[in-house]
Amino acid sequence: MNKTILELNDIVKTFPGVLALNGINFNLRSGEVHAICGENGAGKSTLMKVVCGVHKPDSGEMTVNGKKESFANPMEAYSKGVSIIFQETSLFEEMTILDNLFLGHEVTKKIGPLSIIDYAAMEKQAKEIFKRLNTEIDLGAQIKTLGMAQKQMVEIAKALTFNANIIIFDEPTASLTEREVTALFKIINSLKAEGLGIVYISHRMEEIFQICDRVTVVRDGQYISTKNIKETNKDELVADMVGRKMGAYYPKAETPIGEEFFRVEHYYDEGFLEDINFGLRKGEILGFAGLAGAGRTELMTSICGFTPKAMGKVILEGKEIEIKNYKDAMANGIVYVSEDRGKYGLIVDMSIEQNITLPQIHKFADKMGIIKTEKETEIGNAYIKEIGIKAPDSEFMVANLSGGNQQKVAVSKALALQPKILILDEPTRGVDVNAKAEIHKIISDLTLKGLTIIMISSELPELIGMCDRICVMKDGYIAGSFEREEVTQEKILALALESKKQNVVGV
Amino acid sequence: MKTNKKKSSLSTEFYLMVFLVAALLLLRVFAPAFYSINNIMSLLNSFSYILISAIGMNMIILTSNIDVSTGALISVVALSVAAIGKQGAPFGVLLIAAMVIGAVLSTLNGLFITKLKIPAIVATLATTQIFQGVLPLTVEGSIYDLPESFTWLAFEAKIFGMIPASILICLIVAVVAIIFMKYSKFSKKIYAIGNNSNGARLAGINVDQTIVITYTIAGALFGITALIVATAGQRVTTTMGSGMEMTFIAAVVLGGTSTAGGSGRIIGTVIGAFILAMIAPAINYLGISANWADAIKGAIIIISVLVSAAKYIKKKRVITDQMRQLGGEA
Repeated sequence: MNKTILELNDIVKTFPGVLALNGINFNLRSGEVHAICGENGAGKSTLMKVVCGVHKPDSGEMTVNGKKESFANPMEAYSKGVSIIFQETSLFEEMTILDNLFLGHEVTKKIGPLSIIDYAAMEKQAKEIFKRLNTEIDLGAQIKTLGMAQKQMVEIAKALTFNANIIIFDEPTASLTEREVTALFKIINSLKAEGLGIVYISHRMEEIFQICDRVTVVRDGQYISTKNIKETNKDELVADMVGRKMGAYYPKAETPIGEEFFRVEHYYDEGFLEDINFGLRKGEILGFAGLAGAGRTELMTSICGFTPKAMGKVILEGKEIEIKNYKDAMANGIVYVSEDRGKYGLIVDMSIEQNITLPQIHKFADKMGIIKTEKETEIGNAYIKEIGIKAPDSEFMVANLSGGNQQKVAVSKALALQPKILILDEPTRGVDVNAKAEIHKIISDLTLKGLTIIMISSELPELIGMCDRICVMKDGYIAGSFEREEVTQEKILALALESKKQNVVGV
Repeated sequence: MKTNKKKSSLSTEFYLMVFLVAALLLLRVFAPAFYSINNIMSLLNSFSYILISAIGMNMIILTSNIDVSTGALISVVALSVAAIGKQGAPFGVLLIAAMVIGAVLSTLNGLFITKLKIPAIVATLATTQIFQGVLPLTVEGSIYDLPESFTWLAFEAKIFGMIPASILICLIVAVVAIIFMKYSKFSKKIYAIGNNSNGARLAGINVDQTIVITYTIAGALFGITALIVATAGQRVTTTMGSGMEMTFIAAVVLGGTSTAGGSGRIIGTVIGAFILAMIAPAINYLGISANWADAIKGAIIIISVLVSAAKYIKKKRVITDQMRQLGGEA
């Protein structure tokens, strides 16, 4: 086989409170396509960001083209032959394709003492590159006029302007149509034939088996295995991605589950959601699994009225209800706790009690509209005690709380609205292990009090440990659902990763 | 793969030119006196000093920042050069002094914004107060009885005995700026930062440094404007530049530069500056009270901002549609 051009040894990277990468090994040879796969949050993208200098590793060694390297930013990585094509393109919308290709390494020529940009030389070079890519493109067009696939083509061309011999693709097909994917694969194959090494990050099994030569699996920031594609199969990879053990402890209480009282029928929002049907029984925890971008958050925010009304029926206690905005949702007892605490869930520069009372502040004011702070403090303290928020008092600023305690404030805020249905979007994202267990306990206790919960999570063990039923979403529709007794991580992953659309099953 | 659509909409510059020509024709009919030699020469002079600063402002706005302290900064530079000019310093010395003082003061703005992470509007509002505040401490009201060497630019330096020399300075600045914004590596950094400062950082651009240098360059240009304004008479007051920043910002925005940064060309700013320079004399010759001038400027700013916002919303809608299509096909 060909020589190794990129080698990673024992890469460790921590973010505050999180061990993101824990001793990753990886090597790439020239003329191969090497996949990195793993679940959401396994560390695939973080690893590649470390390689190209977006993040600095805490420890570990990287060898690029035979030399030990550590890059300060992607530009430096580019100049040493490593280029990355990010999930969201890093192009500059208002600038032309040509300007984007050469940004930061423009070709210049000397005129007297001045060095000016040599557009003719850049154009010539760009044309040659696009010819190699078999693409015709107007170099003077602004990026904003391009479609997703064309933008990606520009990114690839940009990599080639640096004479990169290592190109990293981060989920390149996420927003491409099938035809565009075929075109992309052709290009990847021709680059491979030219002797470049390609790193292909994806969790789409079909693609990996179609285009890659080897595959490395990572799980929870750890290196699991590297295999030749020809010597492995999908089941083996999924098993590697999932692992065998269940890990954490889930204090799921046995609650009596009542009648179905809430139903969503033929819910449809063009481009985002497709014919969603599901029902909800009193006192149950219904989980939503799926890959990032499968439409779980979109579904919940749509039901709660945050986005313009979609088509379809929402039925609560036998009556069809109309939710035009979140106020309507709250009035009907449907409350949503966002996955992004800092951005949507809380106002971190306000106190605990102010956050809790904010959605119903009118109830805490007298006739003149003046807020009765003692009433706020009362409810704030009540929730601190009930939910177990670790804070000196209810006037404590939310920004100074840990992630787990912030999440508890967000949940308290939702509970203060006395909901019938509590929707929790990634309730344990970004919180440490202990807080996670506490939040699981809180969720479980809430169902004992008769609350019904919808829980979105990207952590399968959490869903399996906590939920009575799990719906698996994929590309905006519900691909299937499992009862608590029958569910396994493998079954969920198989559905979530399936590429062809199956018969849509009503749940 | 989809083919590129040719640009179907005409450029901002084209619409501005149409507006400008229409306004000039109307003035021909309703206020023929507008075309008197005297008025045209005075118009060219104010166009010159507006455009020179507007080019600097354009660069700042392209980086997605702003400077509302320009008027006060110009007052400071005007008084400083008056103090130097009172000693009989020649024009060359005054020009260099004006550019250096302007550049230093504006660099301070850039440093406040980048090093202290203060939003540009807040930082420059604060420096406005500082600039205005120090003036009365140093000078009582004005510096007057300035010598002929000081007013040389306004009264003696005429091309063919009548065209103000300021237009020559303006021409040089504009040509250099157009070339600079097209052929320098630095200009690409300015545009990149205005488009996506995070992306620019990832592309290895030193964002803070670029912004500071942009303010420095703009400050030197503000200095030139201050010199042209200051040398127009024998007296320089402490409020000479007050309110000018609005004219510059208006010229830039009218010229099609996005207030969000990242897009806009010098040529648009040139036309914008000309329209802004025209408002006051046009109103005068049309027999409308001069008090309307500011209101009309304000209205022009609002309309041009609305137009640019409408473009932005349209762009967003197109992107959303694209995303929906992709989602639908995938």
